Amino acid sequence: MSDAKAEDYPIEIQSLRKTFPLRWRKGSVVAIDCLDLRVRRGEVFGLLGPNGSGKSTTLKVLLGLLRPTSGEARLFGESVASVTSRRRLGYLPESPYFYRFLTGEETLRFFGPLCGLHGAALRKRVDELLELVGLEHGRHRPLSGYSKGMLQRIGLAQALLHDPELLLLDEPTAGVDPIGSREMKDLILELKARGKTIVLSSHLLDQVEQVCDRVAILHLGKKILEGRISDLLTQQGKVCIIISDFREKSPLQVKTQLQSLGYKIEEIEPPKMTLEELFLKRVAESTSNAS
Amino acid sequence: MVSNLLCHGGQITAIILLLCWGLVKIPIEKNIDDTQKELRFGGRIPISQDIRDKIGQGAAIGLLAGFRGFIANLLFIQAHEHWEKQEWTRMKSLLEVACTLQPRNIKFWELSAWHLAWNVSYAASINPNEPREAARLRAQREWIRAGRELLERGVQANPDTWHLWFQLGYLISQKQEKFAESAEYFKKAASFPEAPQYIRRLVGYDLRRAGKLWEAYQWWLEMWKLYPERKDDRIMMWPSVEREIRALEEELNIPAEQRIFPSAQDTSQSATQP
Amino acid sequence: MRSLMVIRTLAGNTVLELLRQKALLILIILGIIMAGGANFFSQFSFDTEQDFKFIKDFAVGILTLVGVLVAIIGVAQMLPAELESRTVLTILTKPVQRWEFLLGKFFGLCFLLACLTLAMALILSVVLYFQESARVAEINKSYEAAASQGHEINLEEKKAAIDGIRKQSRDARLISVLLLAYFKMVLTAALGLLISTIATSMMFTAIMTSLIYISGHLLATAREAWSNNEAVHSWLLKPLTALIMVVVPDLGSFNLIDEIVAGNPIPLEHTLGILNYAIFYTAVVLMAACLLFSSREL
Repeated sequence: MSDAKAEDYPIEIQSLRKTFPLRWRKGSVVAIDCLDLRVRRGEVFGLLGPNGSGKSTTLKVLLGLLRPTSGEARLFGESVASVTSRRRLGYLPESPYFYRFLTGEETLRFFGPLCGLHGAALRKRVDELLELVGLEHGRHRPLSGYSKGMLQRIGLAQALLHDPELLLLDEPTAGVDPIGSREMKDLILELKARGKTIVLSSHLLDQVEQVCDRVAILHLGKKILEGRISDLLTQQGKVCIIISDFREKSPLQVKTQLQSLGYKIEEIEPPKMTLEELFLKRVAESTSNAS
Repeated sequence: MVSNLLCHGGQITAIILLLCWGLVKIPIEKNIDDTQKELRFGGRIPISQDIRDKIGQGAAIGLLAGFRGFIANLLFIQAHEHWEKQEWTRMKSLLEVACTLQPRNIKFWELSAWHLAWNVSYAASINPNEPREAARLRAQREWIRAGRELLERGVQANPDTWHLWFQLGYLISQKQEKFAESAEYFKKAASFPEAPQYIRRLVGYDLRRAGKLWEAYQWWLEMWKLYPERKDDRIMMWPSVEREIRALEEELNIPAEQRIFPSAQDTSQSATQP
Repeated sequence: MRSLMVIRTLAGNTVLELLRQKALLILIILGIIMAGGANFFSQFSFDTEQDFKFIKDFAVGILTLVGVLVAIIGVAQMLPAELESRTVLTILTKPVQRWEFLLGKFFGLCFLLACLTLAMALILSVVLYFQESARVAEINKSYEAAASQGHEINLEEKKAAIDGIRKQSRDARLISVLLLAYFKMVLTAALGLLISTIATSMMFTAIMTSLIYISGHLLATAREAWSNNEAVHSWLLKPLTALIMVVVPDLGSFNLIDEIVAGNPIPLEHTLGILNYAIFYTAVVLMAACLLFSSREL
């Protein structure tokens, strides 16, 4: 594997298989079965799948917490078994696995030396990150007093401490309110704009749809689908037209007109915004009215 | 398979490492143990005794680990309480355990023997609850014997210091009046360079009381010659030593020319002779 | 260098974490208070030498008890708690070696134990100092009283008495005692850490470590029993005794306080020999723990 190619693909998984032996009984459980995956540099990649599909296991293998039964997994060309492979990796865990007695600032200052940061550089970085994730007000509060959203934000901050090129985000918006989710989404897009490669594992499909470039869907340890979101979701051969100031009687006329042009009309109905869009719009309006 | 190998490889290496170290450490530990036995650490008494008792005692001592001294002290304090309440048997049990737990503590042995052979034996001899004199005297002797047995164990644990040899001799001399035996113990105590010099006198006194006049005489002569300057009069009491020598020379009819202190009669006879 | 920084960071955090354990904190404070109460026991003694003996016995006994409990409780909850709360996952997803993590936790506990030992040593010194001052003052007072009544004063005797007291209170051999007590705690903690790398619960780790600690004090007995067929001849006991001898450290040889109070000389080479044994044993155990933890799937 050449260095150039390794840099193009921060994550490379080849024929990965992971089994867990069953104690007291013969046999084993296959958590990942012959998985091939490559994540391109600079893209936001979604790893999807129902519970028990092998998503968490795949992440744990990439993070070096589990050892592959067979096959290979590499980060920037280095085997995941090597600790140095994680030098350019940042990880946001699903639940915040932090020391609850530390404050936000202390948490970052604890993880800093583990990532090779210390002294003035660490202090500066801590200040930057707390501002980036919007936790300036909570920096001196113990994590035990943080809300779920704040914990996710501090989690993201610690993942970004050493400015990694690759980020693994495990359910980054689970349990977070819509505003927090939107902020997380904006942050992800901002990080992408900065050239970061992001792998996102989530059950919240609409959010994955909004931020991811490519996705892979796992089921029972196998990859059943992979591709660009736009390609996967676009219904080929169909188009959606949105018309403003649509009069009540107009649908039939429009339908007749289009049919005369040879198009098959499947449905005509008012476009809907998403609940999230509605929620955010109303909250923003309410905020501006209040101020 | 590779993963399994790596996983189990680490475990196998760890087990091999621990086993190898386990075998290597045995002679190292034995070496430390032997040194400690030589130095008489850990309350080991290198005498032959029933192996099961020894193991039981060793186990008890081992289990108490760093608390031995603390517990021995507590037992000693409790023994003192029993003494005040005149609960002699309980006191004896606690004292014995305290001494066993810290056998290198001379004071425990000394005080315990003193309690048994002096205090308790006297209390037994005047026990108002025992009307028969014979029984009281028997009890008294038994308590003295108990004190002696305790000290005998004490000297086995501490043969390298004069204190308990002396205490044993003193007990036998004062309480059992077996002067031949006590003299031997005094001799043993006196053989230690750091032992007080007055112990030497006690050897001579008891040898004489035991009827071993010639040995007593030899002992005093040796002392007399050993200290030509004869200082420390308060401790050695040389005038007393001189009296003993004189008396023995008379009793043994030592020829005049061999005496250190010729008698007045010998002196006048030699004066009148040309 | 980087490893040192990582280990230091983890160690520092471990100390904070341990001090937040209420049980440990109470134990440590209680131990320190009780050590200060060592003076209380001197009232039961019957002479100066025994005064100091009681104080030293008690203080070292308390240090041993509290220290070992802190070591066992500390190590029992260290790794299992991290695994349960999954904080270990966040740490190990950083470029941190598993052995760095383990050593960081271990040295954090060792640091706490060192602070405890130092605190106890300080308290013991203070108590002994006060006892010494009180006794010396008593002697001076009695000699002054004798002098004022016209009795002859033997200055040499007075000096000897005071020197005797100082010899009891300023016993440099106590340093050996405290050092060995500390390394005993460290070795116990290392063994606990080894067990926790394969154990799944705090309770199991605590119980197994305690059993090894107790067995470690019976090793001398086991050794004697092994070499004597009369004592151990059963097909079960013999291999069991052999197992104890191979697996368990000889913790009994670390106890020197009884020898100190008995006035026995303690050759420096002997103390250093035991220290070397402790350090080497700890290193081997830590290596094994690192190997086991490295192969553990999280």
